[in-house]
Amino acid sequence: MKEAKKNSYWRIDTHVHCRDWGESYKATIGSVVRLALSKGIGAVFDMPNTDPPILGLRDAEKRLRRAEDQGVLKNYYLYIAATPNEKQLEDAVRAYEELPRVVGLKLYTAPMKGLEALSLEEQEVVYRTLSSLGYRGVLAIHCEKHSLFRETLWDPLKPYTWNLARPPEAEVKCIEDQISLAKKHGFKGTLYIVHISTKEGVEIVRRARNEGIRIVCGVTPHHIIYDTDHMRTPESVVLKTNPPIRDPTTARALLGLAIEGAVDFLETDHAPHSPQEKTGPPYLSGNRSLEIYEIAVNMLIRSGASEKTIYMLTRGNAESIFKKLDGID
Amino acid sequence: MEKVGSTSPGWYDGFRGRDVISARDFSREDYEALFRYADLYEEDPGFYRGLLKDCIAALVFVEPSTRTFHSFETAARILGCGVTAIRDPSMSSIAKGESLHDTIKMIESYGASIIILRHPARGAALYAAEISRVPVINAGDGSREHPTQAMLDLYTIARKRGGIDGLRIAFLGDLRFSRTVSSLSYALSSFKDIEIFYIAPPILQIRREVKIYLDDRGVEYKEIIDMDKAREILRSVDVLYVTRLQKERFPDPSEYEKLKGAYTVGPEILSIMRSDAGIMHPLPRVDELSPELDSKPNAWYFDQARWGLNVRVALLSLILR
Repeated sequence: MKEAKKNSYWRIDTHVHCRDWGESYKATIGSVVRLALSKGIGAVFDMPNTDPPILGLRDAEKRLRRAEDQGVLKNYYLYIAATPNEKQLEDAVRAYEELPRVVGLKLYTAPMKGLEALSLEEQEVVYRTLSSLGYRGVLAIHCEKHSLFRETLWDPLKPYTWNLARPPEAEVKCIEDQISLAKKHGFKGTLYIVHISTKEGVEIVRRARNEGIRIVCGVTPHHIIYDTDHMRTPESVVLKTNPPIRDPTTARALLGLAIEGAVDFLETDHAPHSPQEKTGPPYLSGNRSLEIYEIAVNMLIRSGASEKTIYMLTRGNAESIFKKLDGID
Repeated sequence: MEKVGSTSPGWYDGFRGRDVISARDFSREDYEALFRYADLYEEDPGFYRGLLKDCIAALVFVEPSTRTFHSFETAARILGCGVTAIRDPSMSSIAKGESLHDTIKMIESYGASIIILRHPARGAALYAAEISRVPVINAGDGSREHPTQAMLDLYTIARKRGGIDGLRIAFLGDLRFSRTVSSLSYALSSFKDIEIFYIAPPILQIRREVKIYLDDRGVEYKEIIDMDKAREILRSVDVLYVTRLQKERFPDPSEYEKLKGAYTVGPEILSIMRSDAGIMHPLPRVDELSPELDSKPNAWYFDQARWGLNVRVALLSLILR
């Protein structure tokens, strides 16, 4: 019985940022994997917005060698970035097919360091190309529609204003866009809406799934533990993240949706920065959420999540949705 | 027509210097005082003329508006205030990417006594109030709240009906994204024996945050999805409050087309309602309210819009005098 394995199985974190390379001063693959292991997480899936970004087979091989050098290859998996460049996408799909440790592709709709925000037309190129390449793996998507941002509302002395600057509707509209594009181009893979932060977003995912679209989503510890009431002092700027921490009603709703099984993964989006980058310009977004992972698990349990739900959120769904994970215990 | 509070008021201090961000922030006493001062605008119009002649009202409207902008501007001019306005963001530094923080600080430094802000972002008014040294009035912040609309809605109900307690009100239309419905729901919770019916398809039902608030305050409400059931309810309500169905909110356009007819209020709906029931609408309407109703005594919506001026004259004087 899987339920009987509580506390005896390694968990899977489908979304971390190990940094390393040009950002080794923030964290390394080794430091992030070891932190994950201390939290009972035996496999981390690293995102490709590294410095430089992970764009194809060679980058992935270099990254895996780096993990091996640091003695943590056994616990390390990664995504390749998806850009609106047909050659790059061909290379990314090849990496996915040839390297067992590549778990999927990642599409950024909002600007990320080293990766530009993609317009809707550029996103369409990604879907059209991946469909024509017959890609059937996971396409993880950071959903925030850039054109709906209101950056003039950001005030670092009132950190809750990040939620005004990057409003919930930017996420909701972007999720709708992805579903439309996937339908239009007959995308055969699985859409994975990472770090979902709105109740409406989860409802859209649920409706699409009921229509037969292959789509999943994950929620982070920080989006269920924190809300905008925690971001009223200047010091709380350390909680600034993308998508933003939402209002208290939304945080409670996300917790409830995770418990009822409408969310597929508890993913940390662990995204370390230096204290200087977090507390002064440029006030970088990202939380060290591996450190609050257990708090989130306990919060879910206290709020009524069954052992089976915890298992599915922290391992079971990842095993069934991603390709067979090479080497996982 | 019966009016609330026909006696001449002593000066009420409950609003002095306050921000108006949410309808949740005001008590029954506040609302009733406001009604008395709104009545006074018709009873003794001269009372308000030039009352605030040393004040400046700054209207910052980052989103389109007809009634709210003009009624605030007119109210300020009646009171003798100087008026400064950002009406078209494309003609201000907002278009150059100026932060709301800097816009508010600049307006304040030019001597504004009050800032009346409409902004598309939920929560923008609260933020503006936190950084401003002068009172801020929320004239609509995205789909969150429009508290002065709730004030004039309550005033209309009180004036037409003789009071608010015991009200049975049905809201019909897009309740999820309607800031007027959420603000009026919050305001009604300050009164006794209120019964609310939210009539809308599941996708446009009232937001969870409103329901949590009403639950906490012990207000009776029901969500009605079935139109047959809705018709049954409409037979007994005091007020039917209609809002526009927003086509762009529907993921499936055919669903909108299907619902559009069912959510149109015309003579047939009026015929099943009580003869003294009122129909309200925050306006603008599209096609959810038939013009055939306009001449009926049950059509309260033009009085509702007109009395917005009474309420805003009263509100500005109560805050600034």
